[in-house]
Amino acid sequence: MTDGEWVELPRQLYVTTVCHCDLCGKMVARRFLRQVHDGQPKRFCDADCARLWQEYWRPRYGNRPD
Amino acid sequence: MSANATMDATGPGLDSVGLTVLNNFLVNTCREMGLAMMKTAYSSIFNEGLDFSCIILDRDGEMVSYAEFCPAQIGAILYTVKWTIEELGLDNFRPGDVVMHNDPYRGGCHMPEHTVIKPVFHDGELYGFVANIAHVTEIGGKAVGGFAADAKEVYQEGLRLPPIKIIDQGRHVDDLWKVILSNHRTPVTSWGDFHAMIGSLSVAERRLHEALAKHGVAGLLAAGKSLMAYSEQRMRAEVRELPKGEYGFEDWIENDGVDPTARYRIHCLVSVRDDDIIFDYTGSSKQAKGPCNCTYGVTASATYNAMLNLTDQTIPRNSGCYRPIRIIAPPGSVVNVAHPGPSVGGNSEVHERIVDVLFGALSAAVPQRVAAAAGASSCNFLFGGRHPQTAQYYANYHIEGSGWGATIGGDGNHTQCPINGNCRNTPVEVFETRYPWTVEQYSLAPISGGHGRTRGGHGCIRVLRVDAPEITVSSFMDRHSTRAWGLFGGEDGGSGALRVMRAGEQTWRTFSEAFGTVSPNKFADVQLHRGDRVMIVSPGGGGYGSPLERDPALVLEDLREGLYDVDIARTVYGVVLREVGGTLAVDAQRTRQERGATT
Repeated sequence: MTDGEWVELPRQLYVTTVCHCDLCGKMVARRFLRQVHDGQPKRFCDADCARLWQEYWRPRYGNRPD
Repeated sequence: MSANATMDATGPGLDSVGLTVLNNFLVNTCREMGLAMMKTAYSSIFNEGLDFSCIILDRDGEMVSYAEFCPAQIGAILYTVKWTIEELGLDNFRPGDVVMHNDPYRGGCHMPEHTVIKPVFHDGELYGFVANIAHVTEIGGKAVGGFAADAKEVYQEGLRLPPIKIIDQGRHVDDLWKVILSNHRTPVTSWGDFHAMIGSLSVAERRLHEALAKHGVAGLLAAGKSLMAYSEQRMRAEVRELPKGEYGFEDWIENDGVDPTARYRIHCLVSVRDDDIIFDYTGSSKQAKGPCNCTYGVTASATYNAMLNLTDQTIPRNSGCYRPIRIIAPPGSVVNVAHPGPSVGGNSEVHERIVDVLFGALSAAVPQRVAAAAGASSCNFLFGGRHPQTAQYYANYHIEGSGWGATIGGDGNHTQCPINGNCRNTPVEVFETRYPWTVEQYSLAPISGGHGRTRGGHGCIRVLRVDAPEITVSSFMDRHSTRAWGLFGGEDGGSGALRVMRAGEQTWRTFSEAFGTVSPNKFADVQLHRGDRVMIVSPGGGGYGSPLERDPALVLEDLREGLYDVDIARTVYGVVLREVGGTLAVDAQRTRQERGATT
């Protein structure tokens, strides 16, 4: 796992796609925390979601791509 | 404030008494906003239904206070305001600005819920925001009244507004107002309602200036942080008292307005940990084609409100309450719609179902705090057209109460707007004065509440007759084939129904039978004509505990209220009655024998 880096979302007016946190599912407005787990990139709202992904989600569901 | 919790000592020099006074001031400011809204809005959904919420937030977008109007909206408004701050940037707010926002894909509930947000400054420094989120009845789109019950995309549901300044430093941005009002069928009403919302912001701004003059920006911000820390502390203490463990439950939405045979599972696994609690909705159905999907904000609101219902009511309501609550809502599911899925029904129908699911899950942990399932349908019935007396276009969002679920302590309420809507129905006199309908019947539905030691609340029957050449109607209702479940031996509540009788006919039919709608209870844009009748039957709530344990005196009272008959009293409740002096009385000895034999 990487510590992660903050990634800004594109701000062009014509980009209307929505980015969801890979743990809680909340939509991300401006930037997300990117971490890589077992070679798979993950997007999180913040460090709390990244932590919960590690301690709750991963042991239960594994590192599913979705 | 509770004596068993301590205030954050890093507050602005206010002791617990001072913070309590300030908290009450802020809550009352939100209530005053609501009164201004109620008294100045044009639509009956506001001045009668109270389908709005008023909130104060600090400049981080954290909710400092709100008033108890429509709690279904208070989870989502946190996300809409935070999104607005992030998208526009704090530096871009000026005194006198008002931002409007209704985008479900930017933190909102569903398209009709419009949020207006105003920054509050003191001596040139931004303190925070005041906000009002309200269900605007007519927002354009394919269906009058904003409920395109057969929509397959958000684009069909109305005019979608990202956060935009509709008032810039006190001046209306006319170009935007033209766009908005050109897309609404009832622009005069929208103009009035939007300005009622904006007026409520001015009320709150004025009050906050009083508080800011006394405490300053830093002081008021610090006091808000203290209040949030206090609420967080108390909510964590509540979580710690819950039995640790994992509790799962599920319920179903019966169709989505597009596929009449589809059913959608709402599933939640609740994990009570040390001092936080996880609500994991993994396992809920993939998102529906039709608009019975929730946004994340709706699912969060439902989750927060379920927790607020189960915990100490005296905890000050602010963002601190929510910090111990973790929510996992998979994108692309019925509890977290992915773009561009439709979502108008999620906020109004699925929200309540989520609360029921959480009550069901936690019934294994805290049975004394939860309720059996509620009828949990707002029975959303939308209509509009040209009024025959004024020739003006009108639109209305009509909601109906349903029966609430019973609790260990009491029967469910009859015919009351769902638990998290907290809205009021519209009085018949107001309804008939404003709209070309006659209300021919409005009564409790018979044998609607689920039987139990405590009984579920009854739904209602309302019969409406069209008094205009034409009215266009839409519907988004649920629990017509599913029923509100009982708990611990309590029985299920009665299901709801929607029927139509065409003028000159004598038979009630479903809208599918009469008009060929895909779904009998979720459809849009059906034209009714003078003399046609509509019958709405709202569902009843579930019962709690065995009916054989119900106090016979209460059974007798139910009979006198006409809620059921003597046969049910005997066969379901095991209560034997006899006539004494021309009135019914409980035969205690035979009742004991009857109940003994039954059990």
